[in-house]
Amino acid sequence: MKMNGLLYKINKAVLFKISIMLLFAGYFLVASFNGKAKLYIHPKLVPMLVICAFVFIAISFVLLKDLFKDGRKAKINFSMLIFIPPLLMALLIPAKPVANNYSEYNSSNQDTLQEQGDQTDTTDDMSDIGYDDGSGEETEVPQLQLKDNKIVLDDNNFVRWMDEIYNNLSKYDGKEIELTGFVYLDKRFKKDEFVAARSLMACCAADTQVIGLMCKYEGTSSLKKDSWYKFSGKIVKDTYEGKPMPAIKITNMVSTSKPKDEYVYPY
Amino acid sequence: MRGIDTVIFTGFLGAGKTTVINGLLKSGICNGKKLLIILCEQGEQEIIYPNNMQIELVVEEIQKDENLSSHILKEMISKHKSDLIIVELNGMKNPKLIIDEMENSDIHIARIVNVVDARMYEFFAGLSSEITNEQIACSDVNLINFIDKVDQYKQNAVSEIIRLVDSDATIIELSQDEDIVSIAYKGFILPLKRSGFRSKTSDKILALFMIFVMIYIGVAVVGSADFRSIDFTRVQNFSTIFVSLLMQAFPFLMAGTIISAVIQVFVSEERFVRLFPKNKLLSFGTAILSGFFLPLCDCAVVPVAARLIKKGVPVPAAVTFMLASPIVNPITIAATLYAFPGQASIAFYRVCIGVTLALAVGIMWLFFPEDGKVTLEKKWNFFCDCGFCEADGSQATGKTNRLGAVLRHSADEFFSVGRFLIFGSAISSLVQVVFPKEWLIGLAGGYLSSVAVMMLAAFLMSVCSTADAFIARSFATVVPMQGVMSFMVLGPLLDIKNVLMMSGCFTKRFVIKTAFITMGIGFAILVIVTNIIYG
Repeated sequence: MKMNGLLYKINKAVLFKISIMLLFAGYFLVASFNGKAKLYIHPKLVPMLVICAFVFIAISFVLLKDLFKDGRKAKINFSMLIFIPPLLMALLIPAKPVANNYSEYNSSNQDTLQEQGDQTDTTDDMSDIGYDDGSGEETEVPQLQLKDNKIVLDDNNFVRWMDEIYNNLSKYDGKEIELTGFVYLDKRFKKDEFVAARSLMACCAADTQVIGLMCKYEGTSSLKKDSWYKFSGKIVKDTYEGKPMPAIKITNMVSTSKPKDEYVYPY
Repeated sequence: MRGIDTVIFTGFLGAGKTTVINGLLKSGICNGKKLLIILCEQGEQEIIYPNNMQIELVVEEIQKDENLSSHILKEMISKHKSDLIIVELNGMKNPKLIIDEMENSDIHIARIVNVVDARMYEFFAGLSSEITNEQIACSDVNLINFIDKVDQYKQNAVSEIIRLVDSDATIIELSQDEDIVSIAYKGFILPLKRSGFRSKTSDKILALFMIFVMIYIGVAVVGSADFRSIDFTRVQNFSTIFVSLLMQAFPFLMAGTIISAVIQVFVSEERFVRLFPKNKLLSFGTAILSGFFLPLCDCAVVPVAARLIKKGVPVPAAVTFMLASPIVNPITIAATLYAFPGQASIAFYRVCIGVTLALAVGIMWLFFPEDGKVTLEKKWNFFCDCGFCEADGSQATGKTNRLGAVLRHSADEFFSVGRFLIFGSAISSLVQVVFPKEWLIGLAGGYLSSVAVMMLAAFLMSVCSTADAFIARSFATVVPMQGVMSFMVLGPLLDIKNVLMMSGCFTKRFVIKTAFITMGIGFAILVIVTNIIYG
């Protein structure tokens, strides 16, 4: 009788809250430590997720005291059930970079900014919106350097090299380049065109964009969308939808596995 | 074994408790039972023994100067060996003590029914709100008696008083005695399905379980099916965006709720109001400055702003604080500088326009104030026993208690505001998955239309204010600078996510008014200013 009575007295609303908080905390902690969290949010935000998980745990601990209070009348408000779907989705549906449109970020981003800059009095600031006076300002960024006269893009310098090449196309025209990325195809591309792409995350998966360099390759039609390769080639001057843009003339490409960190970050 | 089923009736003298009990007897629901009725109050009405005696009925009366205690209760139970007990409580006494005592005895409280006299209730509630509030708070069902004897206005007033105490109270209106029978048959007075597993909550848990199973089966089916024949990408995209928005926002939201709870527990009202200067202009300045020093994003700021108003800060200043904070937030400014390297002017204009807009909306509130409260009162305002919530801000006891109180309040806030965060995130994820960005871009070609379209985009996409500069940059290639600036200015001030969250803390009127004023003035300011800067 006593045990049964105790069961009747459990405050279901409090029990619900504690379970939700502990489940979120558990998921946040596991995801932070096995790296899954990085598929959703910028690595710099992961420590905050861990702190948040510990706050949840502390709160559950405090709420534990209320577990046997006012149990008879406590109801789980219908709207509280909204906390369940996100948990289920996080647990059941694997995260995947959201492929947005390529041209949004990429195709001569800076050119357009410059065009608009011409109409303003800040033209001077705008014309050299490169990496060197921008992201170099506050974070310590190692200089971009050629390796054996070759441009080698990796996870850490991908975005900066992109900016650099787009801004100083003539300087790098004809240079050899090496990068790892996935094949991005678009209806608007020509038959021999594809983009050697990476997903860029600014803050969380809601703001990912595809960035990359246009590639010229005879066998494009045989390439599978989203497959990963290590590309090598030469930078050439090209135009895309009427604007000058760098492109890579592919000399060699080797199939490779997906990198551990799927995203590249602007900072 | 869970004890004898007991129905408790509470309510003021003359509210019609005995009449309801008589109706219950007449309905025949209790037929075949051994019934014990305990009366703690001698009213005008008496228990009428039903003619067809299918009920074995004993009535016990508690004398005026005596209290019903578990001791007396036990004695009666062992004396009569009944299988259903009906208790009519004394309406002039606080029911909490006796109900607590009963919960710890051998009975099972099946239902507590609060009977309310529509004609007199406002009067009683004003006279001794402590007792009436407790009656509402402890009961499962509120029967409003004599509802046909009062006008529409009074009918609403009574329901409102009840809802204020218990926002999800079950309210049933009674006009004739005959109604009691039909209400009893619907199971409102005595639960008809008596197995413990059919209560409402367990129904919900069952529903929940079914949802879980359905999702699991769905995933299994999709997982085993050929991916090329079923397009699962959108679901996966939705899930990724949705979960990522929440993972990013939850830490910020917790920061906001904890700051709000700290203010609630540690800062007394007078001290707070003193902090905000009497001078109206100065108070706006304080609002903007404190926005800079409390780095809150657009979700976290909502509960804090609501708390400020509850602590006595004037509404216009609090509105300015709420709107300006996310945009003068140091993180937001840094992100803007990052996103547009070498163009400090963009961050500068963004902050200036944002602050101007926040001020303008605040000043509109100064000229068109709202009578009455703009914040929603929560149940725990009446019954919070943390010891820090009394109106006089009387502070109690040790530090551990305070920490507990802070965490408890932030949990409350997390659950009440978090619901709207989740709902808003779901909508904005859906918008991102369903509508490709090209649509927006196609619409936002012209200068004027770009301002309007990008304001709408900022509203619908609900990107966190600390990150939206990067999104804005991605638009910069295809949308005129006017549009990009509009996106960055409106986003932190107003979007689906934070409008929904506001509706968790403020009255509907307040939310609608603030949203429309912000949109209207925002459009005007953005059209004019961005065309001066970039035109």
